[in-house]
Amino acid sequence: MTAVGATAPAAALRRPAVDPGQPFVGFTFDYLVIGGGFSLLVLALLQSGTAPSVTVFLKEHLWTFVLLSNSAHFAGSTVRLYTRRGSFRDLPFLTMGLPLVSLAVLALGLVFPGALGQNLLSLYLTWSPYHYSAQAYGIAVLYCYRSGVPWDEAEKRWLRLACFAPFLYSFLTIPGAGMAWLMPAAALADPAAAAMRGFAATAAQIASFAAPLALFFRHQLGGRARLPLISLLAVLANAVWLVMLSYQVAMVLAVITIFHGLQYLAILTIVHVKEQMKRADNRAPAWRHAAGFYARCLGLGYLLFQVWPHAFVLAGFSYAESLLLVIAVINIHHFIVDAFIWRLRRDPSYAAVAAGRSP
Amino acid sequence: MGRDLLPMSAAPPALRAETLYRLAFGLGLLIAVACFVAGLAQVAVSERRLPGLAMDPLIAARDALARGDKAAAGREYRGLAAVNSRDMDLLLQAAEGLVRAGDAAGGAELIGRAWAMNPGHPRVQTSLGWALYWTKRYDEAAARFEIALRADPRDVRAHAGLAEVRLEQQRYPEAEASLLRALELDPTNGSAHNSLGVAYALTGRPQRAVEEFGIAVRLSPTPDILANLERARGEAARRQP
Repeated sequence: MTAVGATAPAAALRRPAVDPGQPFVGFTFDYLVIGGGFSLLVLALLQSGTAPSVTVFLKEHLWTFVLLSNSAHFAGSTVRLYTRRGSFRDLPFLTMGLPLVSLAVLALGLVFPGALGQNLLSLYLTWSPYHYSAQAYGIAVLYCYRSGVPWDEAEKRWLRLACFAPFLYSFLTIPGAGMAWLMPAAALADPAAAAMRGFAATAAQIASFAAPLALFFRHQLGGRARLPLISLLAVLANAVWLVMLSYQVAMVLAVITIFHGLQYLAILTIVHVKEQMKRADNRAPAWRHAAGFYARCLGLGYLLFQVWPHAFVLAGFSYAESLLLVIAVINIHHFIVDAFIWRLRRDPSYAAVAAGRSP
Repeated sequence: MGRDLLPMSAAPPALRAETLYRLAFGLGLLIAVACFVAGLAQVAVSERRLPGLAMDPLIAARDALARGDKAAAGREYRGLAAVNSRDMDLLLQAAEGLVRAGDAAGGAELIGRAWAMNPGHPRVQTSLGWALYWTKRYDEAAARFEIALRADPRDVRAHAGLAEVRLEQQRYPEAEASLLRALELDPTNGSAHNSLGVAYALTGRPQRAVEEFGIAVRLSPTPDILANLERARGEAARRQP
């Protein structure tokens, strides 16, 4: 009997029936914040209508929460980009060219609101659910890595499909974006096309929940690398955000963006802190790195969303169009930057975090 | 060996690209910093404070209406409609705002556009109802709100609109019923809390009016709601034994 053979049965015995995932901070924090569990509790409370005082409290402080979470998360990708070692060398266009391009696009959008501005808004609204789904996929895969059982490409493809079903639903149904933006209104109004679209939306809606659950149970029962429970939670939370709730209702939308931002900030801060702690010249404790990183995100978030739109008012544009276009351009910039800084297999810092089995 | 030499004027492409990137970065940074300084200065000079935390595209329009600056409000609503004509809700809000700002023709044009996007949609009827309300055509407005509510009984703004009409017509019990229904559907509607406070105040219940105005102030602390709260507090204090 080989040593491996001797230890394998014991390892199998120790393996829990359901893999809860390897938390970064602790099970409570990871399940509530990164997995999205807290969002489901709050949204259930809002939807039930049983606690109007909570709803009033949220509405009263909505913009504070948006600043603390969502605005900071948008700034977070930029802060991360410019604080990561070697970013200027490895990603010259992203770090040095894209800001100027974004500013130029914003200016043109303001000058040509009909021809360009509203298309920027539609682009961002189309891209946003894709970004949410990509984040759910990233978090699911991250916890798979941390559980130490690698998924092959085919398995990851199925997981990706399950994560992107909510995006497909959003693409088919969001007014003014997705299909409604890209297809002529006359074509969409055709009864046969409308019926097909309705059927596809229903299928995507069902798949958003059925696909991750089916994948989870298939892997659970089929002796494959198992999907950690927290990965399933993150994917289902995203499905609830994009599919079950009315995405266009301002209050619900704001609450969803708060939780998406919270999820993102948590992961980003963990990555940043782990990187800083590994530096040979590090002298500061982890909390100081986390606080410093968050403070920078918060400051930049305030400047981007609360201050920047007023500059264009000074230039003679209305606050409404300035704010909407600033939001659109910041979102698009964030989506692009995000696509580069979270390249799972290429980012050594990400790999270091994902591989760290100990929190 | 001579083939490896470059003329003095021709920099290596990588170096040229790097220089261009650095130039672009410097320029972008300069513009961004200038924008932040300009944004801070704009609010500091015009409002004597730092920019607040709201991210509502209609906030400037509402503030302008509250100040009575209809021209500025109209500019804001037209700007919103120009950049966001695909979002029916915002388009309809811009339409109603334009009517309030005195541009009834502009508002009607936007309502027509929303109608073309979604023919027969109850929310368009609601907006039409509000547009008629702002032009003091109360009976027609009520009819539109009732059509909208028959199609969608959960339309908060239609309930609120019908309540406003009933308040104008001094039909207070009906106004109160509509407002309570609106707030049951959306307890965060500050304007409905304010109107319910008005209904209570006008029917001799100042203490309940204070409660409603108090919630309205938390949700949207505008000068008119603050004034309502103060008046109701005074009335409630006078009535206490």
